[in-house]
Order: sequence, then C-alpha cells, then structure tokens
Amino acid sequence: MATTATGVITEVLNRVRETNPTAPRSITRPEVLSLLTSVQLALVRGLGLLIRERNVATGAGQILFPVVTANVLRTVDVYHLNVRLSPARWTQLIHARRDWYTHEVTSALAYQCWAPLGTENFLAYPAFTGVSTLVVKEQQVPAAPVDDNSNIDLPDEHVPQLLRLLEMLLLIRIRDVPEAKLLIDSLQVEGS
Amino acid sequence: MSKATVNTLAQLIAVTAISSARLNEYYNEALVELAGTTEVNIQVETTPIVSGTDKYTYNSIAGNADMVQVLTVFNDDGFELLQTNLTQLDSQGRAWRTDTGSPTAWFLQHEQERQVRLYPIPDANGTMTLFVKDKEDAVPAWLDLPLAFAILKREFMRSSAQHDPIMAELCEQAGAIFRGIGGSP
Repeated sequence: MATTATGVITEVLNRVRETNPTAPRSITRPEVLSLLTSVQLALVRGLGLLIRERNVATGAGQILFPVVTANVLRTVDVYHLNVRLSPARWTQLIHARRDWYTHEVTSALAYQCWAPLGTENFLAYPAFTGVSTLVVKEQQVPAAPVDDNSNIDLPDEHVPQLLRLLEMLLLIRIRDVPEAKLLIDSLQVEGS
Repeated sequence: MSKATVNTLAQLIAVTAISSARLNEYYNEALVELAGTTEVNIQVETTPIVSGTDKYTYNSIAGNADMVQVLTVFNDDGFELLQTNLTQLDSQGRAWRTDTGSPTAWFLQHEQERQVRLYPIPDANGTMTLFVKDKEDAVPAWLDLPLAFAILKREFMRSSAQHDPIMAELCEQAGAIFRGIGGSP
C-alpha cells in the first residue's frame, strides 16, 4: 500500500513533538512537504531506485550521446552487446590518444567505457565504425508530492529512512542540538 | 534545479534570514567544493572557424552567454588541440603571431577578455568543438540538500550574531549523510 505525504508529515511532526512539545507550531505542513520532496529525491538517487532502461541507436563514429533530461536524474550504467561498459571520467579519455574524440574501431572493440559529460551528455568510447545499439540505464526523478494527499514515490521499505532523514532536518531547523546529534550519529553508524 | 531552489531550502532549514549577497557567496563556494567531484556544468559547443580569424570570444561561441571556462578544443578532424600559452609561443620567436595553417593549439588570449585564440591562424573555414563549463547556477536536483547544508555550515561558521560552531558541525555532518546515502559518491 502506498504511503501518502500526509502520513509521513504527521508522523515526523509527532516524533519532533515528543521531545519538543511546542516546536511543530513553528513548522508548517507545506514547509515539511517541501523538505520531504528534497529528501525523497536524495534517497532515490542514493539508493539507486527508479531505474529504467532505454535503447539508444548509435550512429557510425558516434561518441557523444544526449541524456534525456526530462525526468532523468542521472545515467547509471551503459551496456553494449550485453557487456557493461566501465565507468570513467571524461578527463581520463584525454590520455587515451589525441584523436580520441573521433577514434573509431570495429564492433568487438567498440564502446568499452562511458563517462558522464555534464548533465546533458555522456561519452561512450571508443566509437564504432558502424551502427549499433547501447542500452542505457537511467535513474528517474521521483514524482514530487504536490500536497498532503500525494503518494510518496518510494518503496514502502524505504519510508522509515525517509522519516529519519526528515526528522533530522526538522531537529536542525528547531536547533535541537542534542536530539539532532543523536539522530545524526545513528544515521552515520547505519551508513545512510 | 537552480541556485534559487538551493537558497530557499537553506533558508527553510536555517529559519534565520541570510542576505542574498551572502547566500550567493556561500553557494558559489559550496559549488566549487562539491562540483569538483561531480562535474555537472559541462556543455559541448560547436562553432564555425573562419579563415583568417584566430580569436573567438566566449559569447560568440554558439551564442553561449553562460560559458565561463573552456576545458578543451577539438578541430574538424576530431583531434584535440594542445592547450598552450603566450609564454610558450613567444619562446619560439615572434613568427608564431603570423603563422597560418590548420590550428593545432589553443590558448586563452586574456582571461578577462574571455577570448579563445587558435594557433596558427586558420587558413580555411571549418568548425571546432569545445567542452566548456557553464555558469554554475543550474545543478542537478540531487545536489540541492548537500549544497543547502554547505551554505548553512558557512553561515554558522561566520563571525556573526548566529555564529554557532556546533550547528556548523551538525550541518556538515547532515550534508555528508545526504551525499553518502547508499554509499553513493
């Protein structure tokens, strides 16, 4: 069953109220909703959720590929002929050879690594002399909850983590240093 | 997302107002700190090379007014041009200023003039492709919270009425938690 924003907001305000009875009065639900949106996004990104695949047809000699920016958080993986390309940084490719940007090879040797180039493109190197298809795994932007009735675009098992991170933000906001520190320490121990 | 979103988020968490000038200052500092590992503002631009013209201002390059830095340049054949500088070229004698041919190198003419200069002076029309860095006011949305906390850390560290080293430390730790969710870089 999907979790709604109203459930999360009520729960987190209740948690903060336990140690700070008057604090929730200074925090409005729209403000919590706004923070919730950002926390949900950070969780989806960090946990590698909402991954989808798409096929990208490659042109002969093509090395630069656009990212579909609408609703795509980031490119996660790229495959060619069912082989996962090694992730790299574009600055590493510079050292490959001086004509790396237009260097073309046969199919078996093509597209061995990929590198993000800003947020709008990625490189797959070396380019193939012919045409082929890359399989690109991309992380989608979660649907932002627009009001209390919106569903949280996150699997239910991650909602507790969402609550704790949101609680941490509220504790920092109300400057409850001891409680914020306790929560931060436990989140650091858990590695989230 | 944008600088405005990050700043709104920082205000929302801090409650106390931070002046927009100071927010901008903190934002730029924080982005330099974080973008070094994320390389988020790189664009690819293609622009014509005009025979006899060796200087190209940033704004003339694909009309990209947001461009702040050239990272690398490729010629028509896809060869990466070498980055050089005036001192290196001058060490070869004065003749380089009038040399013509297919460009093999590039350098920044004067950083303040925001000009890329090609060497030698192109003797034919063509195109060049540049990897450039854009103005850093549009970042991926997943950086919003880490950036907001980096801003708050700076505000709480500043010598002011709300100077609070403990809050600064909490903000630093909170930012690290959001950067490291799931062990992500």
